[in-house]
Amino acid sequence: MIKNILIMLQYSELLKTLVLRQIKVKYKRFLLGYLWIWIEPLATMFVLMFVVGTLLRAGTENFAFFLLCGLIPWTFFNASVSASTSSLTGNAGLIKKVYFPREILPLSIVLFHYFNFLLSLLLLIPLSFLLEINLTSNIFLLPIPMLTLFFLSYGLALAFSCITVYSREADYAASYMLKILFFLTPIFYSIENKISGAFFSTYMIFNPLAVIIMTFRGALMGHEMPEIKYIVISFLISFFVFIAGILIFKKIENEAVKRI
Amino acid sequence: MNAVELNNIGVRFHLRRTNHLPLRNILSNLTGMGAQNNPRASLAQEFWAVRNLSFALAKGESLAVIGKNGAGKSTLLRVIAGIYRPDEGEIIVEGKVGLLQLGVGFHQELSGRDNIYISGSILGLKKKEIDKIYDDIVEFSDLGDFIDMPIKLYSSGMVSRLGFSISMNLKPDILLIDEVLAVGDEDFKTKCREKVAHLIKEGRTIIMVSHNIKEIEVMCDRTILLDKGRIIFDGPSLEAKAVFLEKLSKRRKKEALREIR
Repeated sequence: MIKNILIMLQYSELLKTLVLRQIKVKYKRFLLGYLWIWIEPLATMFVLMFVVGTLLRAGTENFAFFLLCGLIPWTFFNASVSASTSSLTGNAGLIKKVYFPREILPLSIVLFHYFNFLLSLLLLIPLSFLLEINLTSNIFLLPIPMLTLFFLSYGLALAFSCITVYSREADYAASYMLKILFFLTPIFYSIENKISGAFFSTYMIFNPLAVIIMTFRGALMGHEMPEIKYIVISFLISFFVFIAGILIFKKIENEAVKRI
Repeated sequence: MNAVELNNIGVRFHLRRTNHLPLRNILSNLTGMGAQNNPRASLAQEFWAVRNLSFALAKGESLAVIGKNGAGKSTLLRVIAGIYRPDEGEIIVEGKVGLLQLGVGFHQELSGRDNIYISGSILGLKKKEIDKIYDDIVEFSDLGDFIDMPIKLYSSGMVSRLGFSISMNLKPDILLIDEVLAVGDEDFKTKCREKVAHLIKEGRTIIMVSHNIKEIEVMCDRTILLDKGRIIFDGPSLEAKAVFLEKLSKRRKKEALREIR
């Protein structure tokens, strides 16, 4: 484990280059450039505001801001997991030609999307003034869901990236999982006061992403924070996913390289 | 002192009719459950690309690896480069290894300049180290003003030249060359051979795979002949030629002879 970390550090330059390469390729040639990072969640926000807010009349107070607090972390999670599934198969040429720690490939994708995620979060600052949202001291708790989200995403990215080498079905499995998760996670609705008791706690334990998004809302728009035990459990689950991702990756990496 | 030492190296591949398995097989492989009653899992055929391979290469030696297609030459180089971890045996490598490859990690949309930095960092260099050799790379590649254009505008010869220049200027202690000395026009080929010869003279260890026997005779003192993943000859390059020609089928023999002449 420690040896692995040392090797990764040795290749930090490569990691940096790979992340920068994605940024350059993605935005360099576009007219709107980096604005795309904001256009994506904003466009989804308007669609959901129309569908959920206007058509279904199910919006909440400050619905636009509420949606963004869910959509921005979700966009990161969705993009990093789905892009990582093909991070090994898509770089077959590279992997077969030169040795480097292969976990860098999914990591570079997750970090690239994390960078986008941070930029999107910046969007919320002017918006919170514009929409007159009172920021509370809870905002200092923001690093907790941000870290939890990273572990969860990177763990899944690692697992899916190498399982996809064995079976393209993993790619489909990942995209279905993400689709279903989008509806099961309180992104465009809230679950507080809607379900309770044993069902509520089971839901909170089995969907770490729900807790993450609720904590985001707690930190950013003064919503009530989820109970501390749920925050701790979601962190532990995410960390477990991260460790499991590393173990799965290490277990099948060598065979996967031959098979790519 | 030995630069590379291989003891009974073996690399195993699992051959399947289709490359991609249903998820349930992966689950049973991972958990070790249900493998017995899963008929498709047992369809996998074992295949040793190389096996019981042992040799030692002293620092500064230049070694050629020859053999028919599928003899295990590229697998051998990949083991030495660390890309494949051997399933059997052990390998000791002293010093920085560079597998000479063309266009490692090149991205079509980015300029030659950007690609030099990307390629360099993939090969394990820091930005400062690339800064140092940047001018040499550009000069050797003869690309001129093209260096600032996206490489999708390059001709394939230009891409190869850029790739070659990068690998050549990285100056690894052990340079692995996999059949790439045949790129570009005659001028550039000559330039490349001179560069390799120069690296050999500098005392770097070289292992090259080639089908060009003439080239091997000139550049390498020692040759290993691989057949079906095993070493069938290990000795001076001049003797290897005779053994190799004998091994070739008649048709290939004629072609090879023509090449030599």
